[in-house]
Amino acid sequence: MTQATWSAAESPAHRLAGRLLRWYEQGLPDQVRQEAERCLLNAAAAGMGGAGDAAATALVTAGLQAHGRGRSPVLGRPELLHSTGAAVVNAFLVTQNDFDDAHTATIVHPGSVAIAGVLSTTPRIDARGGDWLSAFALACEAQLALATAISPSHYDRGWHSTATCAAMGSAVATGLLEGFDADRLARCLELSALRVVGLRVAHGTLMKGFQVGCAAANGVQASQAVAAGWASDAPVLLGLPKPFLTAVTDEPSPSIGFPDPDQPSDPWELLQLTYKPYPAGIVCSAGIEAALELGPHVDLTRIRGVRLRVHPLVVELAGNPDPMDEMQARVSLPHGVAAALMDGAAGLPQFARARVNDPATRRLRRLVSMVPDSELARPTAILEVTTEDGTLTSRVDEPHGGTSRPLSEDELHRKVRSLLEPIDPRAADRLIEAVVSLSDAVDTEHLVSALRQPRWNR
Amino acid sequence: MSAAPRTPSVEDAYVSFVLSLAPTTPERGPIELLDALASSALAAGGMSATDPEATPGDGLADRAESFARAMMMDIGSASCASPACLAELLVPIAASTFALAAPEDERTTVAVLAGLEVGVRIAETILTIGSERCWSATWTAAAISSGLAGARALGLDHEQTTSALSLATTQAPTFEIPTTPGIRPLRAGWVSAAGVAATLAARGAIMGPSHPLTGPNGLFHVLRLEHDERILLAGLDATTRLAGLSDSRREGQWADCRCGQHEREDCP
Repeated sequence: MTQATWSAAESPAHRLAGRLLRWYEQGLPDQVRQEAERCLLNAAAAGMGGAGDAAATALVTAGLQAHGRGRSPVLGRPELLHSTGAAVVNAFLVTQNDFDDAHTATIVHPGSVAIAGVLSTTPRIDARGGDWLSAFALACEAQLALATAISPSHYDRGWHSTATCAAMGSAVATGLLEGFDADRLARCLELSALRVVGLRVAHGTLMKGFQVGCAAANGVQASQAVAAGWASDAPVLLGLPKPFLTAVTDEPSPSIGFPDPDQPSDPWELLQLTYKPYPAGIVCSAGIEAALELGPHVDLTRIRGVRLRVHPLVVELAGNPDPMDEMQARVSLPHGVAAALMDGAAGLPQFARARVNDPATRRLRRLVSMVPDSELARPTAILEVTTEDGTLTSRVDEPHGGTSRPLSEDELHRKVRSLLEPIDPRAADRLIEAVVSLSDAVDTEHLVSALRQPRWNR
Repeated sequence: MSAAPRTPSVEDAYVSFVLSLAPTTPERGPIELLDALASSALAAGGMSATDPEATPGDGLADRAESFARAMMMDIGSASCASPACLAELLVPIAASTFALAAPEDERTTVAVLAGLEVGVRIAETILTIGSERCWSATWTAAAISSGLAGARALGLDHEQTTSALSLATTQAPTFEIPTTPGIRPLRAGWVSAAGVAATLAARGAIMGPSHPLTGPNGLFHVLRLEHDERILLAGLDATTRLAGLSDSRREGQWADCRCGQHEREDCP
């Protein structure tokens, strides 16, 4: 391999790498570290909760065939995969049930990729708990920084931002844990931008989670290529007028912003994360919550019609009136509203395939009409349920779990328990304790043990 | 009144073509080039899919990656700067297919050639965008075709092959980086591995959408590409695009790309 001759010390990637390394070495602000713990807990529970699904098993099998066995753990499962395969599977697991986190300004869900990135190096890299958490947090922030630079035009053009920004996130996680210096980390970021994975045509299919996983794996591969000396002449893709920012968006920001360690007041996008209260597209939250509010007051046998007014984008993204399976149901507000009205709940059981095809649910779903209203903000929903006795209305301007109504610590823990207790009654407590103590842990053994298949740890 | 016959989508046409291409002997040029590629792949990779020492189903994407790197180094097209180099398009398709099925099997050859025929048409369509947006027609098309060829090689059905097409398409968009030829073998390997990963996931029932290329928010939409079905489907049943392929190694000219489809264009 030739000696590195690449020189782009003033490139945007170099500047970003420099800031990442400074934060990694000096430690994160307390508030950021605490939010990273919440994001990690939420992502881990979301992934573990879906780890027993048939699709998860199928992808683990494919991952073993494609990349072989290795040492990297898989959320909620006993298998140990090669780092690339583990990245695909872990990001898929967190994404597939639509129960993860959300950055509403960019519609990016960074936790899935960040956890896939850090787990891909585990336990090969002997990291302290605090460093592992920092790599996770910085991987989230890097994804959000890139997404912010290309939003909103990027998503509007049909790209799936969570996937397209994922390679950079996992490249940051693995590059930091590998101990790259600024030069090698910058090359890693540039290589991660070479391929742009993720199309919104995938929404409503298993490909949505798969493409997030593949993109996360691309960042891992970029890191491996740099470590192996392949990137001696890495391209320069990030920053104007280079391809990444100009080709994937119509209105690129002039640079990729990232909190400056010398400017304590610089905002962190990580602090704007929300955690989904329902396993559905984030744009469905307000409508589902409105249905949960009205449900106890509605006699289902007397419903004549259900009218839901939302922003036009919500209709575009979640207007499917007749979903055929659980993947489609998670981006179908007619289904979410119908199931919530019927059950007074909106958890994984309400989006299971059997429930999607249940005749009573289908009947009620057909009564739901969606009305686009450009006067409404994106998070807002106005639900009108007309029965033989009159019309009931519920308006939700900011759904639970949003930035102005974040899940409390207790509520987040209840969500974790709802996901893990059906699998193993002790798994939630183990996971919560491991995440809370991670910052002070000398290694990640305790956490990794809690992240794997609960029965495996008995 | 009878209903008008449904026009098959581009995606349907591609899948049907790949699955139905007959295993008739194509022209010698492509066969010789494929033989040469297989030799370099096997020499570098040390094993084939039929190697008794190889663990079946273990690290097939990694195998494709190493095959592709070896092929790229061997054929010398690391110096090719043509935006429509058939040899560069062929390498990832061959590498991913050879990783999944025995290179010496005639059915494997047919799978590679079927993927290549589709790939040429997609590459020509992407070329119509122009170079200002920096998308690589060759590598973007190669990823898609690798998934399709792999599906044929593994004997997937129509639905699974459509998913393989989808799962490969979403991984396909790749930037052109003409000033960094050293990255080309690396990128060829990644593209091959993406095709294998798509094929294996599709076989495992990870289903994708039915119109990943032409559908709303599909590939052509995000690339801002006004696609022309006449280009995408032109002469698909005639397999006419392969005649220019040749094994230039016999002529001792491996230092430069000699795919026969364009003039010599070395990188700066």
